[in-house]
Amino acid sequence: MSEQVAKHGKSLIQNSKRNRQLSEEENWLVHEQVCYALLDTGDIDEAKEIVEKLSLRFPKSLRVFLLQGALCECCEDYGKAQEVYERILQENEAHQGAMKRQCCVAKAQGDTEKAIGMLKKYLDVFMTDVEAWEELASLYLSMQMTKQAAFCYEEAILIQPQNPTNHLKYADLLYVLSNASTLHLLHQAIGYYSVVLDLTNGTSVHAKYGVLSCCDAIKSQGRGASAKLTEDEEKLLSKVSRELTTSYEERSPQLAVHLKATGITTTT
Amino acid sequence: MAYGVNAQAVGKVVLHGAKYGAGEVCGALLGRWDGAEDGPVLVEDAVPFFHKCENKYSPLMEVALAQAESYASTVGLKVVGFYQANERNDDGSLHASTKRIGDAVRDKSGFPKACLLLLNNEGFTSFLSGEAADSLPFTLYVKRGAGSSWEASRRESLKCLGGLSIKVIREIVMDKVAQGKQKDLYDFSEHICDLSKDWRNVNLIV
Repeated sequence: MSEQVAKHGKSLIQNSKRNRQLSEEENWLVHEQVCYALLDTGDIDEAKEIVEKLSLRFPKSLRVFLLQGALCECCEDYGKAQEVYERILQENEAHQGAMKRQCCVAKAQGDTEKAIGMLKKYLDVFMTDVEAWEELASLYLSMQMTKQAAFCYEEAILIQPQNPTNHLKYADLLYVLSNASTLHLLHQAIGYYSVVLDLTNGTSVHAKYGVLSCCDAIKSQGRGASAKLTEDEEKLLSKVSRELTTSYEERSPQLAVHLKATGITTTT
Repeated sequence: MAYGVNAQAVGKVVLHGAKYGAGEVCGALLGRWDGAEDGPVLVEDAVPFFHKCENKYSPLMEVALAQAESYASTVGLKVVGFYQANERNDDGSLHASTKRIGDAVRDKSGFPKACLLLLNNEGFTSFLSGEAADSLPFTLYVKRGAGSSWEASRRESLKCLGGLSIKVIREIVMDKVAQGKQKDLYDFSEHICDLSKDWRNVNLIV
């Protein structure tokens, strides 16, 4: 994505005939977006040129300072980046961008614990920032702290209940956290995968695999009554199994045999 | 213990790393072993799995391993290991999650010679640029016994197959990178989003 923004954005900025068709505000917005894309693709020299242009035009802008900090991060000059962000926070102690970029610096330096600490402090104030909850979950997962990651997904779901992504990640974690003595987590996961199927009009392949895996785990890890699915779960299992098998046969028949080999589908 | 890799396996791992340079990537290694105690493990193919760390903590990991194993058997191979490239450039450590998957490959599929290949990120950049054209950008990890830990092997333990030198393998792989072939390499994550994307990546390298 960043590569395309960088490529097409650059040609838009450099082509004076095209960029004259943009209003001044739009023009500078495009400069900012293209700059971030160039930092993503590692085109430091070109990003530097844009930062200089923006700094000339907006010499006191905190938004431009943020970009300068990101440029320092890209050059691995983390000390300088930290100085820039602290300067921004001195002017505006609630500057979300600067607070988040400080977490990025800690993460880039490999200090995951520090990054987690800073992100938690940020979320104490800005608790409705879903992306921050997702990033915190990701940081927890990198430290194998799966229960804490699950808590983050719960918060994200509360903030954006209509977004299937967090339900999906939460369900995945419930599956991973479950074992023979906590099969109820698998039943919960099936519930969340069902919500994802509902929100995606039944198209999420990931959720279908999730349902099949959970049902298979319940049947193989459970003993006696606990190895049984409810009637609704049985119906969901056959429906999902049938749909996924059909999807493979229609879109990827050469791979259908490998789906069958997983042993989690019920269709013969 | 000796391990060999061919151009196809190296190519797919490098292309996967090149496609998702800013994140972490992982996947299965497919190969063969003649069963002799001192016999080498020949890694002949790779199946790219994921480029987001969350997918490692999901049922998709087991699904991907099962499907890779199924595919391997259709081409006379088996899952012999797992490859991982860490997100940060200076992170050369074998994470607990990677070891866990290595244990699953070793114990669940009953292959005691299962190996882990950690992509050496800085070596990867030198390999692509040609500075280090005579060494493969991997660190090989093996486990000597069930109760032991994953240990890094000496560089000489990883050899090239097919009578090719590292330089020649590098040329083959760089040719594909130059052609932008990484956009045609599909991993299991991409397959989940679009079933028509084939994670077997047949005929991509050779």
